[in-house]
Amino acid sequence: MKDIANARTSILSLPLEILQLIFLEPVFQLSDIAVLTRTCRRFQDCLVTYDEIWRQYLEKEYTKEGLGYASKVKQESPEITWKQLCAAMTYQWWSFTNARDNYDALFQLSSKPLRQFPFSMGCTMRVPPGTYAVYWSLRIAEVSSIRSLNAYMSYKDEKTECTRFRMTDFCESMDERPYLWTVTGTNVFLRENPAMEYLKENLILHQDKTHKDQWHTIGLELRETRYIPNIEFAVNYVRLEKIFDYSTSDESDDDDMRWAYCDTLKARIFPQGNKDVEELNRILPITDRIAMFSQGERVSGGVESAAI
Amino acid sequence: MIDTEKDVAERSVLIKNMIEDVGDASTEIPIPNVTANVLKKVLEWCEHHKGDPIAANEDDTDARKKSTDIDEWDQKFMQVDQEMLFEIILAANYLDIKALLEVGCKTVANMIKGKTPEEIRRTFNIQNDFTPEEEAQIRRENEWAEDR
Repeated sequence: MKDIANARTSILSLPLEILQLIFLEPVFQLSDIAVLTRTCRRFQDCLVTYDEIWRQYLEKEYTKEGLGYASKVKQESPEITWKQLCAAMTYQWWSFTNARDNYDALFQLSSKPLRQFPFSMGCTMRVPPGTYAVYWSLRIAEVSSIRSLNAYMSYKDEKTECTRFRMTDFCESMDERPYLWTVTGTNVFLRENPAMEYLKENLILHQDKTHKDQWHTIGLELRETRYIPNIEFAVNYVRLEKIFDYSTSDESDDDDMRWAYCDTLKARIFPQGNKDVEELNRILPITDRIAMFSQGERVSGGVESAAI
Repeated sequence: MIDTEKDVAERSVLIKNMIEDVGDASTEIPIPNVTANVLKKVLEWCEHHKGDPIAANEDDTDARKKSTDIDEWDQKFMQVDQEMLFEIILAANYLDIKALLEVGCKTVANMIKGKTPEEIRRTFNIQNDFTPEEEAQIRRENEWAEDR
């Protein structure tokens, strides 16, 4: 076979910057390119910068804020490629956009394997004022262990002042159940829910820290102190339409109503066993590592211990 | 030596700058890195596109079209053998003719698009030097992010 890698006019002899231009269009599968050849070093150089091309693609397609968050994720988890971040976004594991119909989802993310317990996992999402239903579900292989789970829903303002309450305080069981959550810009409260009084109490704490019309971060977090295999944790934030908006006292809020946004986060915890860190990194795809983060990484403030 | 009109030659930013430096459009401009037949082909493209607006900013994403969006004339123009295609791309890069470079890159991108690795290898005569195990490992590492 002709050694076209050394030929002047083969694709592999094109300058790197031209190969970058060719691959600028995100129409190629990274694996399809990656498996082409090993020995053509210059082509592999291009593959190295392929990731940078995807970064540029993100930069062009999404908001600076979204890119900023993606950069943060990349910094914390350098093994995640920009293309994977693009793919994650495509699959709506999170969203980087904050257009009228899409809210900027800010998921806690860590690639660190779950080496020890207690652990926590969850996600937060930045949202504008509005009414949200937060659906969450747990699927656990060992049903008998459900009662040991503690879930927290948290509200956090821009200054990272955090207030949380323990889900299990008002949950009879840990199966799927919805909660209504209203964020009006100046207050946060639940409707027709036993936790309402708790949040009203905390509302006082938030009023002088929260500014009207500012975006807020809402989150749902699951905490557990024991090792439980095969957990699937899903969270949906759904922006509700007017019909579900109970904040009738202020009609002007309706003007600010935006339409439903739904994002689902799924995370599974794999059996820990005796795998070492590298092995866990290998067996845990990034999809399964999203939203997992070990206890202590979360911002502190009013967190109740989840003693079992 | 190839004679051409000033406005045709000035599709090339490199040549345009050289003419401005010399101050005389009738001056002979040496183009050492491009062969005559490739240069003729490039000038043929410049002649056809001499009235086109020149992109002010190469990072202008709005102006950037999908790979498949290549002008019909350009598609026919690029129906050359691979050696000539890559020579045109190299010449466009050297002469700083962004639009031609883009057309060339899009043409190559379209040649790759939708092909399996083996088809890409056949298209560009690339020898596969991975073992099946190595290739399978690379695929496993990347498979989850596919089909975006």
